[in-house]
Amino acid sequence: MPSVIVTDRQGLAHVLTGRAGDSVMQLARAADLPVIGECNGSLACATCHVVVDPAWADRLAAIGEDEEAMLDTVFSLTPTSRLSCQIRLSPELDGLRVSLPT
Amino acid sequence: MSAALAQSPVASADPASWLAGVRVRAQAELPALAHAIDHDGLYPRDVMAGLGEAGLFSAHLRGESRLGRSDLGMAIAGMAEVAAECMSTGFCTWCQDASGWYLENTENVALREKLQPGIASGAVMAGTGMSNPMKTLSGLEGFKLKAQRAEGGYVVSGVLPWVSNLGPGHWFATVIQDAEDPRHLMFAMVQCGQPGVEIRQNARFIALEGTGTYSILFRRAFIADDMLLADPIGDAVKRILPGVILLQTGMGLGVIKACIGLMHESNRSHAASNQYLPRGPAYYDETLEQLRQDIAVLAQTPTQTDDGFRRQVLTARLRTSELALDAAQSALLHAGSRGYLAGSPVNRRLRESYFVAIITPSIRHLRKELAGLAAH
Repeated sequence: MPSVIVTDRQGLAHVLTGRAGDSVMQLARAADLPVIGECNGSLACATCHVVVDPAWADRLAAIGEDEEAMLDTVFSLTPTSRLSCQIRLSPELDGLRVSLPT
Repeated sequence: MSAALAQSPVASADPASWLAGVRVRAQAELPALAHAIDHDGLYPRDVMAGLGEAGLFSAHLRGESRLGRSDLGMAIAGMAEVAAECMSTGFCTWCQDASGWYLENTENVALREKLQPGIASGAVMAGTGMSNPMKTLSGLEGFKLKAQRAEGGYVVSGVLPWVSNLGPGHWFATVIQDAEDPRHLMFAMVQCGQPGVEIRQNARFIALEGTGTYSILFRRAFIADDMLLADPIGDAVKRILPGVILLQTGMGLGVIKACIGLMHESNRSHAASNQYLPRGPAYYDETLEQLRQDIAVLAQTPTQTDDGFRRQVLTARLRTSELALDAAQSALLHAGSRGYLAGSPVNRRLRESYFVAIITPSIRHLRKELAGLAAH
C-alpha cells in the first residue's frame, strides 16, 4: 500500500499508509495530526494546507482553479503549498513527503 | 401583492399587530417557495425585502424599531413566525438580525449610522461570520483570518468557511487576529466583493441550500479602521453574544411550532394509533410555551455578561435545539411512511431541526461551555 511521510511542526516524521485514492488529509486526520480539513475536501477552506517537498511537487496533479484560489488566502504560502485534500495516494506517489506549515 | 399583505398592520407600534403583520407576510409568501429555497438553492431576496419592510429586522434596534423600543423578544418571536413557514428564511433573518445587533452594540457610531438603517429595513443584506470566532474563543479551533497593520487599517488574509445570507454587495461581521500579536483581536464589518474579498460556493448541504452560504476568501483585503466595530475587541463579543444566541432560538421555536402542526395534521387520520406514541402535540405545545416564556424573560436583559445569565442563555439555547430534534422526530413518528416520502413537509423539518442543533453554538459546543461554567 502506498504511503506518505508527513513532517509535523516539531520536525517529527510520520509514515502514513493508506489505500490508493485516499487523500493525505484523510490519513493525516486519522493519525491525529493537526490537519483540520473543515470542508471535508470540498475546496471551501484552506485548513488542510501542507507544503510538499520540492522533489515531489512536480509529480502531483496540477493545481485546479478552486484549489489555487483557496491557497491564495494562506498567510504562510510557499511555492509548493497544496491542499492535502487534493493529494490522492497512488503507487506513483508512494513515499511522497509533505510537511505541515509553521 | 395579496389583499392580506396590503392590509397587514405592519406600521403599528402595537406588538401583537406587528407580529401579526410578520406572520401574515410569512404565511402568504413562504409556503409556495419553501421547497425551492430549501432544496433548489433559491435565495429569498424578495421575501427578505418584504420582511424588512414589515419591520422584522429592526425590532431589537433602538433607533430603528417600530415598537417604540428595542425589543429582542419580539425579534425572536417574529423570526419564529418566519421559521415556522421556512427555516431557511428564518436563518437568513437571524443573520440579518445578528448583524444589526453587532452595530447596535458598537461604539463606532459612524459605522452604525452608515449600515444599520439599511440592514434594519432590508435594503441591505448582511450575514455573520462569527462561527469561527465563537469556536475559537471556546478553544475549539484557531482564528482563520489574520491581519497585518497598514496605513489606515489592516491587510487581511484567510478563508472563512460557511457564512450565510451572503451575496454580491452583502455585508458581514467577523473577528480578525493580528498576525504579529495573537492576543490582539479586532471586530470588523466587511463587504462581499470589496477588493480582496471573494465569496465562493463550493459545497452543497443537505438542507438550507438557498441561504446564501459561501466560503469567504480574503486575499490581502484592506479593512479600513472606520469599518471596525471594535479594536481591540475588549468585551465586545462577550457583550453581544447572549443576544445573538437568544436570537437563534427564533429558528428553533419556529421549527418546533411547525412540527406540532404536522403532528396535529397526522392525528386527523391516525389519532387512534398515534395515541400510543410516547408524546403527542399537547406535550410539545406545553413544553414549547414554557421555553418561549423563559426565553422572553432572558431577552429583556440581553447585554448582561455575568456567568449566571450566560448559563441561563446557553441552557435556553440547548433546550431549543433538543426540543427541535425531539419534535421533528415525533412529527415523523406521527406521520409514518407519509412523512418518509421525499419532499414531504416532515422531511424538510427533520433536516431543519438538525441545523438548529449543529449551527454554532452546536449542542456539543453548548454542552462544553455549560460544563466549563459548572466547573467554576
